[in-house]
Amino acid sequence: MSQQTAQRSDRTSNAGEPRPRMSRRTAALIQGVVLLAIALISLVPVLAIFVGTFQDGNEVIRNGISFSIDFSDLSLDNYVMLFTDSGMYFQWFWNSLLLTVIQVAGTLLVSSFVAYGFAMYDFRGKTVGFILVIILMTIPFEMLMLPLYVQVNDIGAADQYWIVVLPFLAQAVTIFFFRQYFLGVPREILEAGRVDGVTEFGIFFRLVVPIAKPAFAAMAILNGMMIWNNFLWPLLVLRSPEKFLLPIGLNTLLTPHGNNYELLIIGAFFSLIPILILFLAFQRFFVAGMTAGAVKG
Amino acid sequence: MRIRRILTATIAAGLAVGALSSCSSGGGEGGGENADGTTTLDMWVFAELHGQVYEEMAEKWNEENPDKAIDLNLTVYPYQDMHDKLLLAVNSGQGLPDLADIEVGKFANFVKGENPPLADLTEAAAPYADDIVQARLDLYSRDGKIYGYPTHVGAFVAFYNTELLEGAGIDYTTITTWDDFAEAGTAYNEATDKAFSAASTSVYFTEPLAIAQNGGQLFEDDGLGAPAVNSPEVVETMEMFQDMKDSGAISTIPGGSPDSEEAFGAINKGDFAAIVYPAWYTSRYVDYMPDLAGKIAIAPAPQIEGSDVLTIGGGGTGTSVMAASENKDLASEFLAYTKLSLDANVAVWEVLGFDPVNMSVWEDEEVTQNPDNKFNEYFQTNLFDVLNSVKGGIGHFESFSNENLPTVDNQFRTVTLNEIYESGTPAKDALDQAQETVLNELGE
Repeated sequence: MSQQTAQRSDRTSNAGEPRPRMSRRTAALIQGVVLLAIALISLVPVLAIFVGTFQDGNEVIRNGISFSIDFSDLSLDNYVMLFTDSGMYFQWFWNSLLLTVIQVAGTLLVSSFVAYGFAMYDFRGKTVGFILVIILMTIPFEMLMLPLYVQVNDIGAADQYWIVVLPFLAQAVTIFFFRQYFLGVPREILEAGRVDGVTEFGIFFRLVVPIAKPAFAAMAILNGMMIWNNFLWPLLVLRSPEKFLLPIGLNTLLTPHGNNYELLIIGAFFSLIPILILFLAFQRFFVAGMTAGAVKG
Repeated sequence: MRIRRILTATIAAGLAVGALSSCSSGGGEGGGENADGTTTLDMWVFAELHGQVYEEMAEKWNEENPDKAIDLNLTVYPYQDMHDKLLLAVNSGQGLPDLADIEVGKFANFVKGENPPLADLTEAAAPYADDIVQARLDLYSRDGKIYGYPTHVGAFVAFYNTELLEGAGIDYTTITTWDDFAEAGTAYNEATDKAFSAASTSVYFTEPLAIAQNGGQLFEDDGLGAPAVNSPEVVETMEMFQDMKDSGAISTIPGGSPDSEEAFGAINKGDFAAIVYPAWYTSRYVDYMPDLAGKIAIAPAPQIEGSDVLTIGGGGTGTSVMAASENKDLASEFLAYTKLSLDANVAVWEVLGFDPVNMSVWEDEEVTQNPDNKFNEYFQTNLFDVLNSVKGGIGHFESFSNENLPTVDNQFRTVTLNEIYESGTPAKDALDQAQETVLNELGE
């Protein structure tokens, strides 16, 4: 052991002062190159689909992802088609957007209320209630699908948007996350609010929500992505093509009797945009929210 | 201040509820007569093009039957998910449409048990039955009752690239049997060093044609019983195909089957000179292989000497009426008109390019020989001349209706075809292994 230490100190003394700084710089450089490579690799699908929007859809599928772009093959035909002859694409897009906004807002409100109750109030059955929420996280949707479907048809709610949203307003994962976050908010703030005569709702909205902005941003992104891509439940309850959401609509373009790859590729590319905007808008809160929620439990 | 906030929150909530409820009109179950005297029929399909034909036919139906007018409420769902949703609806008995397209491979799931959830369409088919290819009605029948109407025959035919074959000194008209086909393929491969025909590894489709011609099935009891994928007829047929692969008469194809984007590109480039596939493949040539216009001849599929079966139907979509539909009788009558009548079958040919199941179309020269028809323009020979030449020998391959076909099909597509064509495992060994795996999977 002592021999090893001696060898190490030898190497240090031989190297002199500038050497560790060089190696730190080299390490940073290597780190940068590796991260850049990973970033580029993760961007490849986005770039490929972007280039694909200018190409003949069938050719893209035939040749796969190709980095040798022949500029004479690129055209704006798909864009012209998207804006002039894409059937119900924008209707589906709008439906998805509307439902995502409403469901994200509703989920954040309902789930944060529930979580706030679990975190800040003491009442009988609180632990049991919270354990039930955790158990709910372990039940896959596929198990709930059939009874929910029967219930929806029983009450005659099929093909209506509110039934797409309602069963999932209280999200177990979101409740769990918010609870962990709220546990880190000092209860003294609540007491101070009460002393000042603020109502319980006022305390939540005026004192707690501003502190929990990162948590709300993180959950907005996660729920937004999930709801924007939601497929199975809307497919089961919606029946009219004009009410379909984007993931269902885009899937109808693939059939055993021929596929509409042109609209599929450009349609899929445009479907990335809202999620990209959502992510960019809340990005600065996102990491803070995720880590804060994770450690303050 | 507080009142303003409450007001703002109320308005926001009101707007959200309004937005949701404004999109919620028009739902609900079909059934009963509407105020304008029409009856709403809900129909689920998985191909928009099929929907177009149904809508055209609904308009014609309403013109011809004003007293039984319908309002066809058509929904195009994604392919796999439509079947899943229909299965869920059938199992729960709720949220069912009146009519639905069911792909042939999925059909067995809907006719299990003594009381299938599909309506008996035998009576509604009666006015047309004499003109319909019986083998295709059999495909969607159980215990003598018809539960679905076919969309097309899908008769296997051969597509030959005459330009390539002539270049290699091969006359496709001399090919009658699979032996001729193998001989021509080997000669072509030797002369050009290019592939003659396709050995599919991701679909098990063309080989069943030869199995049927050999008098075999993939299941016991003439295709109705337990799996028998290593029966002598299947082994003999698969050995014949393996020999063709070894001699260069057939070669594996990009994409794993002729019906894939990669294959369309390869065939269009002239990498393959002959394709044996169902007649609906005409639409693939016209839509995806424009460079071959005028170069492709359609001919009867190769045969087995002495066999009564000249061809069989491959693929397809059965359209059914739900037994629980409140408008079952009207839906059945409308469906028979939409799928089996002469008008409907002319549309199937002219719009979809499929070989129609109503054989009176085959003899109507005004339709079949129409020089302005895009399919007639594309091909050197007329599809209906070929169909008429095999009319008496269209067989029904019962195995396509077996409820365990998906398991067998999956085994072939994922393992067995690769072993036979790619790894060179002797066909008999690969089939014995497939039989064992399939029986294990089915717990038999």
